Amino acid sequence: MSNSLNSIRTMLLQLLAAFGVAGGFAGAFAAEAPRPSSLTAHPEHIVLSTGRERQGIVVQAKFADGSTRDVTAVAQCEVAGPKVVRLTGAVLEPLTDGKTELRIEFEGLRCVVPIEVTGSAATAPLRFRNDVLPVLTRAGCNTGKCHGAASGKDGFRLSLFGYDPQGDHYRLTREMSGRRINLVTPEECLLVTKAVGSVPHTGGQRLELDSDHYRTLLAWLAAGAEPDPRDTPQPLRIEVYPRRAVFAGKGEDQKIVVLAHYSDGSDRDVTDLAVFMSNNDAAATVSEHGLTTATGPGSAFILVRFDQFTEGTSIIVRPGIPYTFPDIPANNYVDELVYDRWRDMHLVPSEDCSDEVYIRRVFIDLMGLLPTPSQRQQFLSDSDPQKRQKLVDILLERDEFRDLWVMKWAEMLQIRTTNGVSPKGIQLYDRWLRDRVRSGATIDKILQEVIPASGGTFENPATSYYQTETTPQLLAENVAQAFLGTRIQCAQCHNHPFDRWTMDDYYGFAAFFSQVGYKQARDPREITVFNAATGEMKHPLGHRVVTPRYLGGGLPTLSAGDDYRQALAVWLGSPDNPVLARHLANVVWAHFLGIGIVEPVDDVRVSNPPSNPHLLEELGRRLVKYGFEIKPLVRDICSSRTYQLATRRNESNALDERNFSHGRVRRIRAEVLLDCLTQVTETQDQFPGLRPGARAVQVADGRTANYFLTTFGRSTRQTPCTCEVKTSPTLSQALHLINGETTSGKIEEGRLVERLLAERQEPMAVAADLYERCLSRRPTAREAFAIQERLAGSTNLQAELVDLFWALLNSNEFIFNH
Amino acid sequence: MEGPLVTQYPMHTLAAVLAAAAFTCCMSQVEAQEEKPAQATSAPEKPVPAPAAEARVAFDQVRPVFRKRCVTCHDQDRQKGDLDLSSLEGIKAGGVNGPAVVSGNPDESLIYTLTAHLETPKMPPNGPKIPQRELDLIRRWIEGGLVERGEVAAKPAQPSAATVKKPTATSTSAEPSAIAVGGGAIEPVPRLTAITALAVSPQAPLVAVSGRKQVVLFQWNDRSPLKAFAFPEGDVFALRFSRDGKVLVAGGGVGGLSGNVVGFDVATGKRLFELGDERDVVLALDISPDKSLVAMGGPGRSVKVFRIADGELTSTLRKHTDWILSLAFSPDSLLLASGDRFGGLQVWEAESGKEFHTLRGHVGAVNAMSWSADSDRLLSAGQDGSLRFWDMHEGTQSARWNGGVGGILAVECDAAGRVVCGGRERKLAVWEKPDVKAQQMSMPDEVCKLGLSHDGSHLIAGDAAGNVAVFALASGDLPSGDLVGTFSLPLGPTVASTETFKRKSTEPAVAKGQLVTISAKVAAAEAEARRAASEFLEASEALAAAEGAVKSAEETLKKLHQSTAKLAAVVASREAAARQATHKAAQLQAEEESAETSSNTPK
Repeated sequence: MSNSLNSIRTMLLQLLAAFGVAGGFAGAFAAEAPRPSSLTAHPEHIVLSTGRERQGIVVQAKFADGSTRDVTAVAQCEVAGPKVVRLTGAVLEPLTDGKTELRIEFEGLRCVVPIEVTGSAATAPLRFRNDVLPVLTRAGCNTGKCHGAASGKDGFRLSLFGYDPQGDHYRLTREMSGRRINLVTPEECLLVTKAVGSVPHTGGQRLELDSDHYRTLLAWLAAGAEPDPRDTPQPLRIEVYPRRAVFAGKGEDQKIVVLAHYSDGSDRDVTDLAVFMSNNDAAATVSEHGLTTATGPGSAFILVRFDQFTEGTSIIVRPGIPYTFPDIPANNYVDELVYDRWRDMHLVPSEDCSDEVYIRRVFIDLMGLLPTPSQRQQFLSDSDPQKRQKLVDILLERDEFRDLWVMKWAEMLQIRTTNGVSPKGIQLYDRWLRDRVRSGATIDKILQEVIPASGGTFENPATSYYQTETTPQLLAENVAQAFLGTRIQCAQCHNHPFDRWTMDDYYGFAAFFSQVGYKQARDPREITVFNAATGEMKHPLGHRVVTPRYLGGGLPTLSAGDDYRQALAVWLGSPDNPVLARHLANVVWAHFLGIGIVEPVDDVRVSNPPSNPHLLEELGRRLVKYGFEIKPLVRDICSSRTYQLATRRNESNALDERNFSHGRVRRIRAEVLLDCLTQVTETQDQFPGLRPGARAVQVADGRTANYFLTTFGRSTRQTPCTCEVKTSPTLSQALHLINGETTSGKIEEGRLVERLLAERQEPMAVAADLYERCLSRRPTAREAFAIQERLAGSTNLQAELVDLFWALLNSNEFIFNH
Repeated sequence: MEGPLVTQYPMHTLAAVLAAAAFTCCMSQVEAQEEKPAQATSAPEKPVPAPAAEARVAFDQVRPVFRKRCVTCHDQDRQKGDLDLSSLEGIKAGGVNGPAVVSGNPDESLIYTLTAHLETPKMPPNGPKIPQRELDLIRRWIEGGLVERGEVAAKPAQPSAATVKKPTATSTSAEPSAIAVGGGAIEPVPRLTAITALAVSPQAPLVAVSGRKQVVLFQWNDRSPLKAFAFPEGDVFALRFSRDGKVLVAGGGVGGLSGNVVGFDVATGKRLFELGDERDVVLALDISPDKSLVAMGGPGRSVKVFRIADGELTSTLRKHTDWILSLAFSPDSLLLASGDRFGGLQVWEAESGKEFHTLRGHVGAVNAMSWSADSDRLLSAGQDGSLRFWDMHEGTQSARWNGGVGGILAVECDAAGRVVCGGRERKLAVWEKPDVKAQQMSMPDEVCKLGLSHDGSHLIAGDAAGNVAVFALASGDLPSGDLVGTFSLPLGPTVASTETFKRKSTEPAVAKGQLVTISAKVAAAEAEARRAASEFLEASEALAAAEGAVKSAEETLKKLHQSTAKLAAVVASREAAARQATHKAAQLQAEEESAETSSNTPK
């Protein structure tokens, strides 16, 4: 009730504003925005524990329409006890020890931030890791193209983004004693003169003379540039405020405050030491001081890096034009969560797609085949309002559906002849997977068998996973990428610059595979995988032993002789690890919507956030509830309105790529395309090791040679990366369809046109039949007219119709799913 | 030989110093010079600024500007836009955009219009505009007709005279000391820093140590500071005495900006020669035993060899792929060895510069090297912790062992083949021969540099904390060596800070007749007051720091004494352990023998 009232009010105000500025500046009417509905201040609780500490605050107002505004500068802020802290602008400075609060008022709304000052007289000494190194990182000294490069720059190396503070301290102070720092005249030493550009520096001037950062550097040098004592507090995590901002239009801005928490329980405002980046400058940019500004409609993620931590703020920028959400009922929870996002972004979805579009889409997605003309006719003539749901239910039980998902899992498991995996091994491995899926094993159960697999590769084909890759590092990387959607490769050599993964995480995860033993089995083609129960993972910095650690999780309890992999397998599918379900749900989602909620699906990263976190979380939760059974999840997705949207865009969603507000036009993947070609031409393929007439999706070995499949980007399964499946169009694809033997060969081999002509007599009926087979629709009036004209003037009807067939198979409408 | 060396150079040297306008003080010279006419205009007699003709700027004066601001991209090696601004010829030749300068017309000269941001692309790219005073200098140089040097060259004599004055003024009042050493008074330092260079005289109990823009000479047997040779060129990173102990060669400069090598007459403190004009500091050098050549190297990756007699560059040795860190001429003056930061070790024919041997083996920096007395063997030491002897006849490694001090930073071997080394683990070791350790000592910090005394009785070493320690080496009558004492540069507040000098000179001079608003005056006065206050603060802080440093130095000394005591105890206990071990070994052997005999008997 009040909601609708508010939205009407908003609309009226926006209309007024639009009149007032004659449709000019979208941002201008922010000043006349409606009254805020809530007010929040960050951080919610402030503790200042040294005299040097300064804390910035940020006040955000939320409006009834969901938009937010940074009102720090306009809100009235008052310190209750002005003797304890002083407020200058939006920054608090400790004066004496004590407790007080900050009272904030804006447009009749109030909020209070408790403040505690302890140790105001203490001046903590400057520390290299906590004070100096962040200055160098902020100045860009240790980026990959400067001194952070593996071999350094101009003879001086720093660790990339400061992952090795101790090493950096050594290189600055000791590697070339007396050169880089000089305690006698700190302001004249190379570290300083290069940074301020007073001597030639390839990187130019990085620090302003007399800036705070410059002074920090000098003060640390003047104090002796000592290495950090052992008890120096370590940063544990960072927090970024506010977590989220929804801008009503272009031109608005929001200040971001970054708080670091340390191992001694203290926290500190590190906004001026953090590095800020936007992942989408077209929607929002961010200044080096953390002020983000809306530049256009869309969403962006402002990435904040400090020490080894990466966090961020998600930003939504609305188009800044009047908006009403259309009256469309949600089919299920999927729609509800997707609609929420559209409302936030002020997106209007496309229309519902037609039945003939739906049947083609759902056949390709669920079966990897096209609907036959009779299936199509049956569906179109069905008057049941639940017929789409019914169709999905039928298709889900088909073998073709299972074949499609066996292929997907096989790609994740990288089933291919490599590293001495024999053709026999591949056959066994493939049959094993197929049998397990047929007997109802869900992917988590399959992993329970693959990850701790032991025995001969023939006797227990699941062990073949350990033959595909054999080093602990690669096995860990593959498991992380294929089943947790996380690329941890970066962290092999340095902390991940755009994610939370450190080298400790990497080697901790790799340690699970450090005791895999191999020996030759009796059959020379077979090897035996076993738990060697010895072997340790060493950290490359300092060569200490790293014990197994779950990726993003805790430590397993292991006793001597335990198979580490067993612990990993249990954890993977356990409720302690929601990541597996979320990732698999995203894989399923991406298969049907053409793009993941996290995209690419196997690149989950702090700096690559999901476009709809609530949706992803819910899908993951549902998958767990369904016991990792994907069929019910597929049913949810395919019966949602979101899945059924037309591909034609409207003014509002013309630029939207990530929010599923319209159907997505997708090139059909190689195997399915070949199967569809075979299907419509009524021919058969012969693949090695398979019976004649088997479909391309059933091919066991990722390395099977087939020109068509290779050209259209079939996955070679060389890596578990989803990027192995290539659906981008290339010239050779077009040329192959036009000239290659597949299209014309199959047309000739199938003799379909000849048979249809004999059956139907009427050439126009044959043409319509071809349309239905290939495109699941009848020719339009214009097309029919053109065809008729052509056929009327022809002496060889069959040749003309074969040409038409060929043209249809070469059309984008055929090779794309839409 | 020394005679001509000494007499030939004083005049030449002075002129060279004046004309070359050492880069570090050049800017202050320029300031001072500029200040003069400005002050003159504020005097009531002459309201008109001095015409360009009166202060025609010569290339020698603008060269430091180009060098500091432009040559990272526009020099002989890296000619962006085909432009070389490192030489007058290069500037006159211009680049892809045509001539860089039009004599007499700065507004048509790209070199001025781009740096003054009158045209694009703005230069230097991605950086702030270069200071106005440097721009004015470029402008005046172009206006004045691009003179190379000439009448102007003599002019800047006044300010630079101050820098050369020190040695001459104080050398006349040289105090009597045990060793005849010239030079000026030692300027105290506010705080100690790493010993970056150290050389021990091969003739007298004299050690030269790097200081702050000076080389400080100590008498190591009584650890008394003697004199200092001013090195206004910058920090000193390399020191070597000639074999006769009469010439001290110092190398260094300003990091990332300039570097050169200066030869001092030890007896008088006079500058005998100045060589090199590098783009970064000189990190390594040596003077050939026959005093004919000087070799130098640094981050430039090439070794340059100069003939002292005429200052001619005889060869530039390019083979190294990383910074040159160590150089040494063989005692017979025939060969020159050079080591780099990547493990490269090269031997050259000293006179011709021909490659002689490439010695592969070191992993990591080759920090130091030394020759055997007969020139047959080269000793090298590196970051990999190894000491290696190389046979010069075969060009092969003849011995290799671990120095036992961590990454080795300094090494020397004496005529008897004894090797001393010091390194990262704050330790020093004395090796009678490969793998036979005679002694081990320690210092409070990483041992950066060391040298053996002229009589081979003592070892003098400097560490990364600024301590210099003198150790007596074990010999027949002194079986275990001992720490004789330590010393360091005198601490105290700095005298004339270049900082304050610069600040004063940047204060804008106000010309008579110029309208100055009252508020501006007030602001200026306030600024002046603030500056004065901050200077006072700085001075008092420096004083406090100095006092603190003295205290800490005393403490360090105490600790050092303690640690040597501990070390002696450790040595004693190890000796005891060794005795026990030998005893046990003997016992075991006896047992074994008896066992053998008993097992043999049944047969």
